[in-house]
Amino acid sequence: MFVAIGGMIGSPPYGTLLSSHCSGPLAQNSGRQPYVDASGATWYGMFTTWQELANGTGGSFWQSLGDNTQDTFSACWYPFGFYLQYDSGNNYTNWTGCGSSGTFGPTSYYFNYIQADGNGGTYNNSGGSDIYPAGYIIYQSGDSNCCKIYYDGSGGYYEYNLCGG
Amino acid sequence: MLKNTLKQIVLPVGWNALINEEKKTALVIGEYKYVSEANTALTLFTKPSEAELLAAIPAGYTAVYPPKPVASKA
Repeated sequence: MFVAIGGMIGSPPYGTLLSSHCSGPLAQNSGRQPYVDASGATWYGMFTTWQELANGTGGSFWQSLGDNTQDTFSACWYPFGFYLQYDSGNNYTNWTGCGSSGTFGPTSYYFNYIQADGNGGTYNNSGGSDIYPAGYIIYQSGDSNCCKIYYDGSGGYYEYNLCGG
Repeated sequence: MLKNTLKQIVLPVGWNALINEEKKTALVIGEYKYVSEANTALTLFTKPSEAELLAAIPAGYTAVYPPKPVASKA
């Protein structure tokens, strides 16, 4: 038999912890929210720990213990493939020589991603590729093109001058 | 590719090559009769002759030459 103190059954006081969840993509609607990863993709779920607290009048509300960018508990993580870093772009080569100067390229592109592994950790995915081969002529001038600027195949360049110094 | 840190270097008179440690290549950039410059992350290698240059390329490295320009008909 349950006897309420004070003679009445009250609702749990405001702030009483009712439940705690980190449900990932399967989160129930009450705690589910959009998370935008570093690539701009939107994921839905509860990827930080959420608590359901009593509102003092018989209902409840949810609050996040995380800041939506950092997990607060090891049991709560981003889903597999969630981008924590999304860095990519092109490289160009600025050159000076043969009495001229300019910008050549893009000479290569790169990417450097950090993604969640779905188990509380992360993995790196980085790389890139050269676009022009070593020895590609960037610029030439002078009599019979006696001065040339070559791409070195690795982001730099070199001058080859047979014009007489 | 991540951007390499480039250095301004002088290309002396003689036969020059640029060593790419990542790709294990020696880019033979030719015989220099006048001093020139390069801005590169590669390592310079210089010898008086082509034969000496090729002989000095470290084991495991492949000598590569810039593609020859295609001659145009007048």
